[in-house]
Formats: sequence, structure tokens, C-alpha cells
Amino acid sequence: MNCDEVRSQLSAWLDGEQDGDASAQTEAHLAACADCAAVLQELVRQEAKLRRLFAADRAAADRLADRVLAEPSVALRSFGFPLWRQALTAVFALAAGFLLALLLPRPTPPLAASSAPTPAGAELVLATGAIEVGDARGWRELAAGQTAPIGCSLRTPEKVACELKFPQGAEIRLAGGTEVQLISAQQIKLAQGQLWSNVNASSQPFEVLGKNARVAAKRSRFDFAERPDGATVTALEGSAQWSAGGRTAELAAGHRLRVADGKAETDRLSLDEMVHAESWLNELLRRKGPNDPELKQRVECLFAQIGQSKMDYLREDELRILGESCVLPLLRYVQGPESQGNPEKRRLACRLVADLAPTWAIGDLIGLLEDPDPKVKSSAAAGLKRLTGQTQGLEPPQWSSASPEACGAAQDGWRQWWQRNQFRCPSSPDEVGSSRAPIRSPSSPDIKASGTRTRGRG
Amino acid sequence: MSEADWVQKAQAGDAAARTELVRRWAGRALALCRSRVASAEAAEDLAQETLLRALRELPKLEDAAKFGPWLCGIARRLCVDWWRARRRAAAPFSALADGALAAEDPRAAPPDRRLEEAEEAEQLWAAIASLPEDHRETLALYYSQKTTYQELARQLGVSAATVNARLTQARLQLRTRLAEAAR
Repeated sequence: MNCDEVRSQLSAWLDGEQDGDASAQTEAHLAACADCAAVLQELVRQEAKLRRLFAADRAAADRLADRVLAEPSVALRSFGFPLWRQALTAVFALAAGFLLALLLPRPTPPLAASSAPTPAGAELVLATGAIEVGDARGWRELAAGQTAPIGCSLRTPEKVACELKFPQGAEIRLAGGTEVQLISAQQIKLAQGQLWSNVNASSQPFEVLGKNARVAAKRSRFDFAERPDGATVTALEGSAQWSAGGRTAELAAGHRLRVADGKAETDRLSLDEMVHAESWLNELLRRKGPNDPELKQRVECLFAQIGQSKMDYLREDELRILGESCVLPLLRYVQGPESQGNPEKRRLACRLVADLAPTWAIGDLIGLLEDPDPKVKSSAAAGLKRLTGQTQGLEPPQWSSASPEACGAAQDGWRQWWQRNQFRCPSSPDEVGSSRAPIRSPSSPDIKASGTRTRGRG
Repeated sequence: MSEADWVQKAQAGDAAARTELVRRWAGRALALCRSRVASAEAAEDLAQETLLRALRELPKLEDAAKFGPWLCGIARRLCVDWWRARRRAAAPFSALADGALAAEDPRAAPPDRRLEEAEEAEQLWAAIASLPEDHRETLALYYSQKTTYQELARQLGVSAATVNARLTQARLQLRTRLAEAAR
């Protein structure tokens, strides 16, 4: 393959549309040709920008669909009732909802009394709207705290998500427009829609049976969507066993299975796709409140992934121009598993944090003094010296070569300093500027500056 | 269930099928209008009108399998009408030179002001605006739905090789335009 041929195929290669042989030839050429490799590198950077650009339009598309579906000419046509009757029904529904809100200020308590034996089934922990449970008697509403018995079906209307918990430890969440049947405490049938599951079973695996595929897992977090055009299973943590189209195999974390027309294919997810796979859970997590550990962890993880993208696609000078705004993502990237395989990139991220971090990052920088990488420790100490004027007896460059005892003594010094001064520092970017965070008090000689933005490295 | 099945159900008055079609096509209709109209706001309005008109006229569609090209046709016609109505006020999208976008169309703000890199987005849209129309359309449809070349080819009524050629040329031309803009 010559350069022209390779460049005419770069799009197909980037999009994973080339077959095995052609892809191998393209890669061989790219490995040998610096010019084409440089073009590819630019296209990869451009690709990230294009995906960002159109991601914004995808959100706009969702809003657009909502607007179209909310149009009276679309929404009301679906029922076959005269318009005046629809309008009247809507008014009554609104009035009834308002009255109910006044009469029932608290969530409905669980039906099962604490002394009663736990009924077999799944307890509805949380829902973003009304969900229904169905059996031979028909469909009725299931309230939070109530248990859906084994054998019944559950369905969520469009845009209503919910979370259910089995006594055996499996946790499931259903997206809007989903219908499932609880076959047993370890087995669920997914008739349509999307189901997220977090399984921590000691003996029998937890199974989800879809129309196109079946998934079984003991310790795993996975997402399973059954759509009219096929099924998608995404392993988010741990591994799960899948069966589809006569095949059975393991799906490792970060991989996705797609089944359509009886054909099963797996691929590895990109960073964006991993984040997107669980994005529909956000509304449920938001309802759990800002202190929910899962929500906090998810936000941290998102920041770490944003940090990784920044490190992958931006140059050092571009990151420095971003200033303080890139500190939180880079900090979470350094602290998270995303950076573990790339020590050089991690050190650069830490140097940038040290140079650009404002005072809310002091606690995190003190934590990084215990990092196993001496260069990370040294950068963290440089950041702390810049922000506080303190060294606790060990200058930043000395952290790279000092004895474990000397490092330990300085770490103790920083811990004590933090106990004395923590109350004067904001603990997150959100707190900056709030009255609870007196950052630059004249009586605070320990803290030098807040929100310092340094362009060059000292 | 194929798309044609959804279309037939929607034609028979099934509300769930109509919802499915709207959700499936909102992104594509928006991308198509976005590739033809400089203003993000106007593109959203036109995409909304496209979907509403498609639902209204759905009973008239004879071949359910041709829903995609039929809806794209509605979107293209609406975009043409929009430009006709504005002919005295603005030049066609494709006739705009790089950088002229903001000056010619005061409503051509960056497509999403919430983007941290609004300036980057503006540059990119300006570069995309300078591409040939079929390249713009293919690029916008590809990124708005993350589909395969085969599926995109089916939607556009061209071959997968043509999709590959258009995307390749569009990306290489964008690279050149962005490099020129950075100088």
C-alpha cells in the first residue's frame, strides 16, 4: 500500500470499518511511514473534537424529540379521545396530583412490617415516577418500599427509572420503557428495555434472560438492553458469562456484546462509551442526594476520565492555558486507576496540578505526598510550597531522594498542619468563595494565596 | 422489528411506534438540518418541523421501507424554503467563506454555548460549513448517530464505499482548513 492508498482508507481504519487484512496492511504502513503516522495523529486529535462537537447535538436531539412528542398534535393523537376530553383529563390529573402532594408529604412506608418475614421478591428502593407491577389480576402501581413478588412482571413508563433490590444481594435498575418478569430470586426475564445490574452473589449466579441473549454473573456490574433491533450487553465491572446465537463466552469488564439477527459480536468500549453506558442512571443517583457514595464515586470517575482525555489529546502548553479549570480532572486522573499504566503522563499531570492548583486542592496534594512515585511526591510538595509557603522540613526536590524516615517525618508534619488549617481551606471547587471558606484571612499566614494561576513551571 | 414495521404500526395509529420513530430520527433530522443551516437555533426549529410534518403526512407514505429517504427529503425541502425566505438577508451556507459565518448570520452562535471549548466549536463549524454539501451531510449524519458505513449508506442511498470516500475527504479537508485557521 502506498501513502495515497493508505490515506484514502484512514477513515475506515479509524472507524473500525476495515477488514482484518486491510487493517493489518494499513497498520504496517503507518508503522513505517512517519508522514502518514503524523496525518493519523492529527486526525485522531480532530476526531476527539468532532465527537465533542456532535455530542452536544445529541443532547439537543433528545430535547428535540421530547418537544415533538409533547406537541398536542402528536401526544393527544395517540389516545383517540376528543381534544376537549384530553384537556379535561389533564386538568383533573394535575389537580389530583396537587391534592395528593398536599395530603402525602412523606413517601409511602414499606408495606412489610419489620417483624414480618421478608417476602420473596425484589423491593422497590427508588423510582423517578410511578412504576407498575403486574400479575394475573392485572397491572397496579408499586410504591417505594413495597416488594414485587416472584413471578410478577414489572414495567416502567417512558422516562421513569427505578431501582430494586433482592434480599440475596443483587441490585437491578430499570430504564424507562422496560418490562421484566421476576422468574426467581436469581433469574429475571427482560422482555424489552434496559436493565442495569450489580451482582454480588456468593453461590448461585444471577441470570438475566433476554430475547436475544442470556447473561449470568456472580460478581459483576453490567448493563443489558433489549431493543427491537437486537440486544446489547455491556460489562462495566467484573466479568459476566453470555450466551447468544449458540455461543457462550465470557464478557470482560470494558467490553460490549451486540446481538442482532442471531449474530453475536463483541468489542472493546472507548472511554466515551463506558461513561455513556451508565449515563441513564444519573437521574436515579441524583435522587439519592449529593452525599450518595455511588454518585460521588461516579463523579470522581467522570473527572478522572475527563483528565485522561485531556492528557491524551492536549499538549502541555494547551493544558496550562486552561489553568485552574483542568486541575480537578487532572487530580482525579492522577489519583485514579486511569493513570497507573503511564507513569510519565501521570508525572506530567501531577506537575501541572502542582503549578495550577488553587487552595481547595491542598488536602489532595498532601495525600499525594504518600504516593509510591518519588517524582509525584516531589511535585505535590512543590504545589504545597507554592500554596502555603511551607515545606515541613523537606524541600520539594528532596522528596525524590530522601530516606523513608525523612519522608515519614515530613508527611507527619503535613498531616498536623492540615489538622490545624483544614477549616480555613475550601474542600472542593464548589466551596470557593463561600462564606464558610475564609481562604485569604490576614491571620492565616500559613496559606499564601488562593486560586493562583501559574503559567510557567519553576 | 425493522424500521418499516415501526412505520406501518405508526401509520396504523400506534403511539409507541410514533414515539420510537421520533426518538430514532430526531438526531438524524437535526444533523441534516445542522449541515445545511448555519444557525443551531434555526436547525432545531427546522428539525422539529420536519418530524412534525413527517408524522402528519405519514399516512400518505406508500412504501414504509422508504421512510428514511422520505423524511430526509422533507428536511431538505424545509431547509431550502428557509434559505429562500432569508435570501435577501444571508448567503447560502456553502457560499460562505471561512470566518464569514458569524458576520453573515448574527444568529450563528456556537452550536452549544455550554461547551467549554466554544471557540473550538465555532472554528470547527466554520470549517465544516466550507465542505461540499454531500460531505457535510455525511459527516453530520455519521457523528450524530455513531452508525456503521453500511447503515449510513442505506440511509443516504449510496454505497458504503461512497460513505468511506466522503468521510475520508471531509476529514482530510477539515484537517487542512483547521491548520490554515490556526496559522
